[in-house]
Amino acid sequence: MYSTLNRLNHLSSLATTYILILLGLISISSLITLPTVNIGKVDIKDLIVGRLRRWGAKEEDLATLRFDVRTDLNPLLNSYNTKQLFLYLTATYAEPTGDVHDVVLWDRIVTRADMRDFRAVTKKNQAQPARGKRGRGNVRLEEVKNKYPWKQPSGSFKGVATANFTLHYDLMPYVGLLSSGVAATARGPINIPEVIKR
Amino acid sequence: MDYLPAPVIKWLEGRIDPTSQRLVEQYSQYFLVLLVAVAFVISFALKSVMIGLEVFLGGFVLLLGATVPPWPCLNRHPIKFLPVRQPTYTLTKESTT
Repeated sequence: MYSTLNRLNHLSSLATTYILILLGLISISSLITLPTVNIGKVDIKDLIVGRLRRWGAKEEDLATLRFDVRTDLNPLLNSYNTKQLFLYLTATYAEPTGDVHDVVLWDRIVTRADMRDFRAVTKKNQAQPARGKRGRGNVRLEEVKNKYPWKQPSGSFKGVATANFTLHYDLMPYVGLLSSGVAATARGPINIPEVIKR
Repeated sequence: MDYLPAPVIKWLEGRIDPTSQRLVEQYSQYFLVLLVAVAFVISFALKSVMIGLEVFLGGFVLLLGATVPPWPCLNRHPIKFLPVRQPTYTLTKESTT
């Protein structure tokens, strides 16, 4: 601590330790105070299974669907240490052979509304997070198509009677542990229809 | 750094006395602990991680400003060196020739 550089060096290293302690406190307290989510509703519409016939390629079944989602994730999105939410819709179903599949059909990233960006710090970006009906966390999806193709490893949906549809969330914090859960579910298993013949 | 004038070099080097070194060490620790507590409480109350980090950064800059330059108050207890003693040996005739 005798010279300028010595003091600068010593205090910077001390501050590094203390800022890590601060971040640890933030991550622990945000995990403890994590809000719970009221599980919303997923409606599956127009679930169709077709047969893909491409020249030179294996014939296989392809399922397409449209879905509605209504769920309120505002408490989660506006909680202490949330940077963004990753939402993804999965179909869970069992094959007759006993294999259980978890297929991701759609996903979306919802960023925090008042996230301040170092590149553009303006009054607009620091707007108060909206609560209740409005706000980015209020997920209202109508007639959304699946984003990723839904196929079977065996090439056929034969023997697969039903599937459960769930909208999961992953909460990405500024600092700390990733936490995840269920944001919305379909009411009961959905019947998978027969392949459309052409 | 030798091309700079001597007073500038002395100021840049910024020596402070040992008593102040000990005090700076001790009080910077206390200050940082307090700063972490204050920053955490503010960020938790305002529900914003960014504000907590900004409070910490502001306090750290204040700490650097208070301790890094060699302020006169950090040189209040200079070391008192013993006076230089004159050599008391006698020269013999052989050694002088």
